[in-house]
Amino acid sequence: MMILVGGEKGGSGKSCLAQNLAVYFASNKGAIVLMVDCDPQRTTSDWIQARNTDPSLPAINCIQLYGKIRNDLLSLNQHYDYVIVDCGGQDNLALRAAMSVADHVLIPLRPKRRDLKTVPHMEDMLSTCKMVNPKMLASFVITQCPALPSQANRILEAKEVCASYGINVLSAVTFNRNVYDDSEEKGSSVLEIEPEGKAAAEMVAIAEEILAMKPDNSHEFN
Amino acid sequence: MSLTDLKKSKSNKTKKKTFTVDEFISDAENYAKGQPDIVKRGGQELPKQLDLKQAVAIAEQQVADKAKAKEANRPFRHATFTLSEDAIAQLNELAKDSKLAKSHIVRILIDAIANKDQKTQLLELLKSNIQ
Repeated sequence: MMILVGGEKGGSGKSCLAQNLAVYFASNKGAIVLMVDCDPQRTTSDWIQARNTDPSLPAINCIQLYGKIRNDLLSLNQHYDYVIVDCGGQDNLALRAAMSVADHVLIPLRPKRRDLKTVPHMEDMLSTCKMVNPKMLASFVITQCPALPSQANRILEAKEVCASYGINVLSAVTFNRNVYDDSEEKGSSVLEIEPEGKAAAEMVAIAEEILAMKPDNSHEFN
Repeated sequence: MSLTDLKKSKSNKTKKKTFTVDEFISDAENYAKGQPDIVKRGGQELPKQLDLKQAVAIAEQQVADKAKAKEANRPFRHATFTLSEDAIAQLNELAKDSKLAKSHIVRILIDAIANKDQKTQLLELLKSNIQ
């Protein structure tokens, strides 16, 4: 299965989500996992490098690919249980190439105006891509949500905005928690640092919501 | 502030032209140049921004306007008067003691006289022996 974590907005938590999903599949599912780092910032590659120094953590492989990577991804997908593609925050060749072969596309967005303003372009790109990749399931994920109860409405409104474009929005969200940042330092994840913690529960909820989705084979989003 | 104004306002589905997977992928390069061919908002042309020449012309106009406005808003301008040697020496001394510019002292004096009522002004002028 190939999961693309991408989008046009920087800083929305793409690498964080990709890394934690990779750990979930490697640890909780005992799967053979490859991360594909398409971001020249190499956030995920650096994370894997740090992770590989700790033999107690389940191994995750990582490769850097840039540009027209469609055929490379198709080939890699045959050898791994899960290929998680982490694309940087812009519309580029690698993002579209990965989108054209991915089973799932996850687009993390913060409940902020500047993030939500990228939704129209993403919806257009996803709808266009669906015509050539009918199996693709696309979802927005609301990330880094404010924990204050007075701000809860922002999360609901952000979901409404995304849903108005006809793209699925995951019920599961992530909240703004320091543990996401702290866990990344040693190549670890929230699932390993605090397995019973709230952040780990958020990641499990996202992963299980993706896995529970029915396969699709349509040239349009329903 | 609510986020709901960002919801999709109306469905303006336009039929996309036929394209291949490779064309879809390569269109990212057109998008990066600001000239998307396949993936563009609802098939609509994106609003045109300024071209390079227009941007330079507008900047030049704004610089000229700014300079003009600065000139028009300048609070002071040069004025030349003839004074006696004594008046010059007194003004120099006043400036030294008060640590004020000579033109500043002249402006204070003018203000003081100009604001008094006409009768007082006249009396002061008549009493003056200054040549």
